[in-house]
Amino acid sequence: MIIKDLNHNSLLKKNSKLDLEALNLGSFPNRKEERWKYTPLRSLKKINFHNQLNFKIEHLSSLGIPKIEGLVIVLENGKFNSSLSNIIDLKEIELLFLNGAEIANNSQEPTQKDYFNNLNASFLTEKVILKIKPNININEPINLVNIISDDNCISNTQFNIDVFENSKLHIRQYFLGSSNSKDGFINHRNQVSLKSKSSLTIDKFQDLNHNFNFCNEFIDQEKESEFIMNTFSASGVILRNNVFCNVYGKNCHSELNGVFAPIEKQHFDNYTIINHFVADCKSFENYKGVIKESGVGVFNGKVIVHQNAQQIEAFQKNNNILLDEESKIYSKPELEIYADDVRCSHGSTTGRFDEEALFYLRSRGISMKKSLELMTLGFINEVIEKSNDSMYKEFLLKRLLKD
Amino acid sequence: MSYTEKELKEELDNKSYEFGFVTDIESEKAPVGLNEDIIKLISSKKNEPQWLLDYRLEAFRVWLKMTEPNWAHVKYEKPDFQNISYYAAPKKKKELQSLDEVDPELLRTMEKLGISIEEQKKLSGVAVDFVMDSVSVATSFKEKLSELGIIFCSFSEAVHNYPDLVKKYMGTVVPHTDNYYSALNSAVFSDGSFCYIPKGVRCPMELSTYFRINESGTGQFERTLLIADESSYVSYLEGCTAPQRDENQLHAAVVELIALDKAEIKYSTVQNWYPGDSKGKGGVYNFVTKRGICGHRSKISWTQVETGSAVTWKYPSCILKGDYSIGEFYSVAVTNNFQQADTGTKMIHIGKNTKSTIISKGISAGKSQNSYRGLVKIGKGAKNSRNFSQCDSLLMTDQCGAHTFPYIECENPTATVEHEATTSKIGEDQLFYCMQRGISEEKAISLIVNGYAKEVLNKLPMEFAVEAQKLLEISLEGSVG
Amino acid sequence: MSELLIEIKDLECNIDNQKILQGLNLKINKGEVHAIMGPNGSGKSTLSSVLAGNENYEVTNGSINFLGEEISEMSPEERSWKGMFLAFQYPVEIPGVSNINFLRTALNERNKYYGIDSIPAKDFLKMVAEKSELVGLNNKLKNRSVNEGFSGGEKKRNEIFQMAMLDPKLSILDETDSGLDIDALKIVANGVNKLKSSENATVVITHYQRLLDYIVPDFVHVLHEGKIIKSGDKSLALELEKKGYDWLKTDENI
Ligand SMILES: Nc1ncnc2c1ncn2[C@@H]1O[C@H](COP(=O)(O)OP(=O)(O)OP(=O)(O)O)[C@@H](O)[C@H]1O
Ligand SMILES: [Mg+2]
Repeated sequence: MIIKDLNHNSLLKKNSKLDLEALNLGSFPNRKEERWKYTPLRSLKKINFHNQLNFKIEHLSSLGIPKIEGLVIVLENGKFNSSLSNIIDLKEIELLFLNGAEIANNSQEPTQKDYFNNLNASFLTEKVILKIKPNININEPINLVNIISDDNCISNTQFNIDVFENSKLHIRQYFLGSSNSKDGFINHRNQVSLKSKSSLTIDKFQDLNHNFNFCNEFIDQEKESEFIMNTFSASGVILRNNVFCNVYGKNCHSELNGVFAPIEKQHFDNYTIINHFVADCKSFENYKGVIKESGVGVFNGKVIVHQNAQQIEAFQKNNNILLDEESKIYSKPELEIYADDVRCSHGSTTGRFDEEALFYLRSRGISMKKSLELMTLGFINEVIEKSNDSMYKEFLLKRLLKD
Repeated sequence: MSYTEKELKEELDNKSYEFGFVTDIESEKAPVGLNEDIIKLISSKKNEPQWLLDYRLEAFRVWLKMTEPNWAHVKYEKPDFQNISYYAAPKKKKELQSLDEVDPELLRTMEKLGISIEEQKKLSGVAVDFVMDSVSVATSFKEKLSELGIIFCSFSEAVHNYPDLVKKYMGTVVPHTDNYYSALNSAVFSDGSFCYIPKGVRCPMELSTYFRINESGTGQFERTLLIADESSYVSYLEGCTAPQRDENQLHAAVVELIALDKAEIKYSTVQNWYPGDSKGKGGVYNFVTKRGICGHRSKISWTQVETGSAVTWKYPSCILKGDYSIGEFYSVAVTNNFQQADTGTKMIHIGKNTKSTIISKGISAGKSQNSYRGLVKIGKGAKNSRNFSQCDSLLMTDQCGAHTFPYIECENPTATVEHEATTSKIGEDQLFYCMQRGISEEKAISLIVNGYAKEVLNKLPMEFAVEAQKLLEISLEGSVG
Repeated sequence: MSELLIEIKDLECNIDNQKILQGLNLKINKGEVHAIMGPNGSGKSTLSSVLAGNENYEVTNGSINFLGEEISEMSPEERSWKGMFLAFQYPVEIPGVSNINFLRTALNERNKYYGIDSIPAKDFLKMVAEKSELVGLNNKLKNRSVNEGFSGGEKKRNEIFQMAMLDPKLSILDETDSGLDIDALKIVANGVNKLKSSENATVVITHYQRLLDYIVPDFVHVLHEGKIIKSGDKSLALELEKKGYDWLKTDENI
């Protein structure tokens, strides 16, 4: 492994307060924009952010995640935290940390005109580049952890993940907010490039407590590559996941799954676009919303099949359960199809659990509360089962069911 | 199917736009342009009361502050609103006592459309309110209906004869502030139909209005107001054909339906305006606001077969305000050549135990773009409400587009909302199967498409269903990809 | 003298404001087997749902005394803990929840109610193996989601398997015989008989005398329009098989 640690800490702005709306980054999103129709940003807007990048966490275990093994890269409050990380030597991976001036030299223009993407590019404090050499199959998951532990701190970070030809990688990504911090904001970007015949699975877990987390994910797929992303959203004031999956090569597989479980007025928004530019590809989306205690869930998924992208199979699914009077769901699955020889479909359902099924469970002596829990488990199980690690699954269930 | 293969062949042989003819009637036109003076002119030409003029002017002021919406999935040259004449009426505008007084040219037009009033009167029991450009020139069956207390007349007549009803309900479902085109319509609407069904009356015949855009360069701004009083029932048909023209014609209608407690309104449309030629030239812009409101246990059902227009922007909607009310939307939308359609519905659930069903079948051919856009909103108080939506799209060529944009907003946990959509090509194995049995490709396509759309076509009244089937065939001519 | 298990008095109930049970009386002692027969729509399944505590049914009159306690207001789970079991006419599918997880939760919840430790995994699995053998439940089904994609007969076996696991005081079998092939019928009936004791009782709802050859009832009742209109011993079932219900309807309901 090559680690180039360049110019740490040099360009951090001290004591500067950021007023998001006053920044010259284009107009701040509002609900008149179709993309932000269901997600008001008032609560984010009124925070005065700082980016003094301090470390506060002593042990990862204090954040309620199971013990992580193997390569662990931890960014805390927008900065690489080497003492929490576990940088083991993996010769198949080239690892590069950029911060300060180095970022400016290496930065790409944001491909998508988006306020938060611009914000990320302008205030980026840590960029980690991972390159997986060709013909390599890394079995053990690599762990990327992003922590916010300081009140009002804004963290603009980026991971570049390049998986070269014929290689396979599994990433577990964590976005965590310490339970005693509030109004922090992780504005993160993942830039993923999958070369031909490569494969990448990302399990993304979001548990921000009283903090915010927006992720912009850009995925470019070359031919015969496979991309799977499972997003598990457990807590946070507002969570917004923008996934832009661009499929440029034939015979690709793209899969986006998710479980979002907002409670107590939390607002979780999944916004995805899968762009099929070429023929013979498959894409799948499966998002499950479990919403209670005035939580709000948003699913807005779009599949675009461009002209000449024939023989595309695209399937989109969003199922939601509302568990109490005040919870809300906004679901907008979209298909935009410009080629004829395709098989595309989507389905969206919203409702409550079947009363007969609940009665059945209760008639077997399972209490109402436990019955609801079992039903919820059954409901999200399809997505949880995507992981084959039983420890991780158990952890997810625990955090998502919040028992 | 109640029409024969022979009839079909005749239809198919006639390759040009079937109803593409121009009626040659002199007409009186307002100068082009839009300002308060023009609105005053329209209003005075129609001898309108002051309150209506005020309503128009207020709408116009609101409209001036609005911008043309661009969220729909359509691209077109925005109409130049200052280059449109907002009023046209046949010159010989004297009161007609009987059919004999109607311009023979006009009667011939109606015959061509297959809806000659004579014939209609004798055969089908359909009352026809024929809107020639903006002014109503012939109505029939009025007496028969009036025996039951049913009012069915032109909007202008209603303004004079039933001002209280018009005043009470106009703009209550589609307020003039609702959107850009409804504001425009409220300012300049020419004429349209008015219908009132009294309490407990079942309208014994299908009420039918044939719209027609006739005058070159005349925007048409229809206004329809239909009120079904408590426990009444009416089935209303609206059919449109338009002459072949080179320039774009703007049509921005407003339709308001009011179904009071326990009433039922069935509103069916076959829309076949000039879609432009195969190169995408000409064609009607159809920007319509159609909406109904339901009282307690009432029901509004929209059925539409959309085959015409160059650009369509249309969302017949239901506000399910009363408990146990029902909204339905059944739609077939065909686009061919360079047509663009962005159509769907809005089901707004407000009352408890409300129910809505959406069945939408899109068929795209040629280089057209066909979008379904539908909103299902379950309000906080809409306990135990249900929606089911099924939106299918069929693609006929590799140059066209089919898009599905559902918006599902659920704010009540006891509601059940289900939405399903599929997009696919016409089944090759089905085509092959038909062709193997000796059915030509074109015929096979029309068979399959008719089967695909059957669920919706079946909801149309009988005569309309036949007409709609023919339209489907014609619209898809030469669409084999 | 035998001990009273359940006593239903003047039971009336509504669903969607429609009266279904209209004054039903029934007494069952421990150790007894009762069969309930009656034409379609007479209220058999309604009775079983009401006994199990389905909240869709509104009890408007009467009482249900189960083991000395009035239970009409009790939640379904509590009734279950007290020993009420209903084998559903149409067992419900629960996708994503495995049979095993389901049953373990059920047992643990009951244990919790009685303040007993939850059952160790080993004992639990042993019990599963034992009981599933009793009804010949295919091993594979246990790890599948509850009833999901089960055949009609498999669902019915699964019901009896659950009954065996929960060891109830009162088992109500609502048309458990329908959808079973002859062999399965024997196996299931055999299972039910094995579970029978002097401490529990069984109510068998069926349309066919055939099942009663295997599970022999002490009493047979005929339900019609929400009431028991005739009771007798097992010979009544044979008579019904021959004559149908009409003679009873005219007999008693003039
Ligand atoms: N949800 C409901 N709403 C209205 N009526 C209902 C409902 N459920 C049951 N019923 C009616 O109650 C009556 C009794 O039904 P039940 O299912 O108890 O009959 P059953 O005796 O079990 O019949 P079967 O032999 O067909 O199983 C029937 O007339 C049925 O239609
Ligand atoms: Mg039954």
